[in-house]
Amino acid sequence: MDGSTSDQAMFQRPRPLPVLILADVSGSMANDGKIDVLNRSVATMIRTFAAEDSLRGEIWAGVVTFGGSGATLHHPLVPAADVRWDDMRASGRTPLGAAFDLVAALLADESVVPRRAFRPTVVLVSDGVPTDEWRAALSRLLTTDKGGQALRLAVGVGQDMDAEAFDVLDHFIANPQVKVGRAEDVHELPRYFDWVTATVTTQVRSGRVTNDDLLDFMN
Amino acid sequence: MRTEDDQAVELTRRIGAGGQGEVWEAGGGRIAVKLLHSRDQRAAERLATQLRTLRLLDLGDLPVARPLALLRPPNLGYTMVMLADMVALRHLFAPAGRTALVPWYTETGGLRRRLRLLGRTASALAGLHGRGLCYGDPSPVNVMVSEPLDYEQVYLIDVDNVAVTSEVRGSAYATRGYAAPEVLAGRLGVSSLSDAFSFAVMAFELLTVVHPFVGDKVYDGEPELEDKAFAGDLPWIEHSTDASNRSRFGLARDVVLTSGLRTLAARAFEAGVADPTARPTVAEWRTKLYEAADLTLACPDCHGTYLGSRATCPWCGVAPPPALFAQVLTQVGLEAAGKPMFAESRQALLVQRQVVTLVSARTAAAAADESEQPIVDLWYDQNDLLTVTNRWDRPVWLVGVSGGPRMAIAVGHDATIPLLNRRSGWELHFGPAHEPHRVLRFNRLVRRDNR
Repeated sequence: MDGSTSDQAMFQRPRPLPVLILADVSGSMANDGKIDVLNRSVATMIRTFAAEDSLRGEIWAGVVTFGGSGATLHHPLVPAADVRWDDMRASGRTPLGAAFDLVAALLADESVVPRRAFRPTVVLVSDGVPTDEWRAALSRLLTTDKGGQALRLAVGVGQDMDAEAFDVLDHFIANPQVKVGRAEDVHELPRYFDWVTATVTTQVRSGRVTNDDLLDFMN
Repeated sequence: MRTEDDQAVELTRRIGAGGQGEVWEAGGGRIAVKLLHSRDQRAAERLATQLRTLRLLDLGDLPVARPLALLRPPNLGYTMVMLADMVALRHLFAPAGRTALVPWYTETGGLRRRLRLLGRTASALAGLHGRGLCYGDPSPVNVMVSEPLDYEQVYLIDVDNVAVTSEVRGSAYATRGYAAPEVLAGRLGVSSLSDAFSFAVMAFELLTVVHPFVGDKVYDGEPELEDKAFAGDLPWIEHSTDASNRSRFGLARDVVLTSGLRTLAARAFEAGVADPTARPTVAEWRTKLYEAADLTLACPDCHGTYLGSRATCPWCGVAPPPALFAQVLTQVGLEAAGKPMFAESRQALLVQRQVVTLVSARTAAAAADESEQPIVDLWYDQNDLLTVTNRWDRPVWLVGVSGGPRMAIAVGHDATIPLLNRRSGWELHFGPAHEPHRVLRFNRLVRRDNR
């Protein structure tokens, strides 16, 4: 077959590794500069993801916010290098249940998370108890294929986190090997996101995304 | 951070990152630092032993990064000698953004540079194997290559995986997608045969821009299917009888691979999956890669390089430039009548008009060591004259075929022959008549230009 091959040739894209941030933007997040620190931490993490250069995997990032009166897709899930960061603003209530339903719908949609994608990582950040019915929504999320398989991480931020609020995060993680992150002082939040960044980049570099491999990072 | 012998180390640029750790440039590019993710005691002891052993090995002048010093805790890692202006071979494997494949392939050095870089990588691995060692983890992030396109140096880093061949080590580090199936499964430790598998994957992928086991159903399928493919449980994309894992991606295989290279790939990825001894050695790859590189032409129009056997440039469709065909022979001795006896070979090289063709010791002296040492330059000009410049440390001879004139070219001198105005050809001899030596025979023109 002689002649020009230029027109037909295509190359394979790396396999996406989706990371969804599930961010509490209720009114209380405006206190103590929590929302500002969260904005900076997530933006930094996404920039680091964008700089990852792995042959077999590519980190995609998206942000779902919950506040006001519901859940919003603040940043759609796209390759981290394509994210143009837009700050989140805090106001209103803590409708976590609505956010769980939105995440479940996103993960189940093959036009958002392709079948070839690596197991997703979902990171929940919250500063208090949800204001809507979250239990049923969580169990719907956990019974979906991708929602159940996802590596679910969570961090509580600020002084208002009580036992009940931490309990919600524990239920979301639903994995005894993974501990809830605690950033009582908001300035501990960047360190938590550094850890998330390391966990995700290690997964994409090694191409191994099983819970066993994560044990190394959990101590 | 500091080394054990208390030298300060300042990291300047991350060169690469793998599942095992990161490699950073330090000290203005003369030093590289490997930082391991794991910091436990066992990993630390293993690394210290490994580096002690490595320092005792005679690696000659192999292009392999020599370890310098361990890092002081809490860091776990070591410093090594580094060359300036090197990037990981990974950068030539796939374009980063949304760009067209063919222009990117050409802009990053095209087919010829890829063949030569792979030839040199195979040569370095063969050098380790010849010393009873194996590299352990050949991958696109462990092979460093010159960043400027007009240089073709190769340098292997990450020597902490170097092992004595045939040592069984179940805990060998395996890069997903490149590790041999038996290493990935933990059945066997690393060996020259597992190196040969990893190299075969790299060579095929770098040249064709598609992984030999990532067919369409693997590409579109779940990650678990890719694990099966990398374990060798699925046929490779060009399997001779099983077409169930073909790929629509990458460059046409016959455009970038000679039949010799396709044969090596088939041996590595069919019988060689389950039977390590069925794989071609890295030395076989080296030979076929260099032979293919010697037969490439550079398109005067798009500057892409391609195998000279093609009727037109596969990248842009333009007719090939004029070039001389030179057959590589070995004069094995003289018959009783004083007539030279030749051993034929299937090796040849193309001398493109108005492009300097460098003949190295690899061709002129069949040398495995110092194989890139320049011996002569060939310059074929627009008046059909061929100029030979002797860059060796001894004379070479121009001889007219069938008893024609004989002319020595002294060290540092050149000679011009009116090559194509005669019916008979010329030979370039890299040794005196009474000793066995290599010969280049210029006896036909591949293509005249279209004037």
